[in-house]
Amino acid sequence: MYRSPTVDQWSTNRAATRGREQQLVDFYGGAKSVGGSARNMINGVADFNPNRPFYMNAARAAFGDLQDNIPQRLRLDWK
Amino acid sequence: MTKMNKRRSQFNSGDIFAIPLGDDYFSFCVACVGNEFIFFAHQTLEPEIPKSLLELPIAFRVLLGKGEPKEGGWLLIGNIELPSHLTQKTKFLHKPVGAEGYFIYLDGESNPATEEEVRHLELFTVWYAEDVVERLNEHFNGQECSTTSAIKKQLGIPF
Repeated sequence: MYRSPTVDQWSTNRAATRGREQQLVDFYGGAKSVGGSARNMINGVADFNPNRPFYMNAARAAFGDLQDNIPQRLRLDWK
Repeated sequence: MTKMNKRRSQFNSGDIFAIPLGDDYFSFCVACVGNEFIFFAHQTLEPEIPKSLLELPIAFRVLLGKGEPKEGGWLLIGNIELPSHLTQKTKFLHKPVGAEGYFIYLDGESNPATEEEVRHLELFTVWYAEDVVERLNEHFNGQECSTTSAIKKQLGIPF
């Protein structure tokens, strides 16, 4: 059962909101498909999506860093 | 061009809804401004507009999802002219995931605030009809709102 949604962050920048979705998945432990503990079955942005660094950096620029609690593994990113 | 599927509002400012609570009881709410609603601490056996509706005690004022009155089977029973304080947007407690501090959200803007300033505010949550009904029933039973408690626990809000 899902509770009523609470607003986290908002932006009209779609890259930033897509990256934020992945930040949240990672914050809650990572998607189940990669051995994580979040309730999400799959990632919002796949580990080797070539645009992943673009989405994640847009999210960081718009909303700041969010703690990453995923099982350690190789992913495309630049910080 | 990207096609956007926007859900249209199914209510207007001043619309009065009767909310079936189960056990033949009804409570009432009024659409204020945007998707802000006030819910009254009042229940009856008839889905009719109570006398002096706007003088009834208010249980809570929250944001409601646009399609929720229909989703919840709430009955549109009238429309009322609202005083100015009900047509002005209110403040909500905004706490992004992972943030240490608190923010006050008002009409599209979110600004940092102290715990004291946000302690009495409603969460920046868009409510589902079923959670509203549960909250009303909890209110009438003198219980704490389980939805609010669960969200606060998840966001690390201690009060």
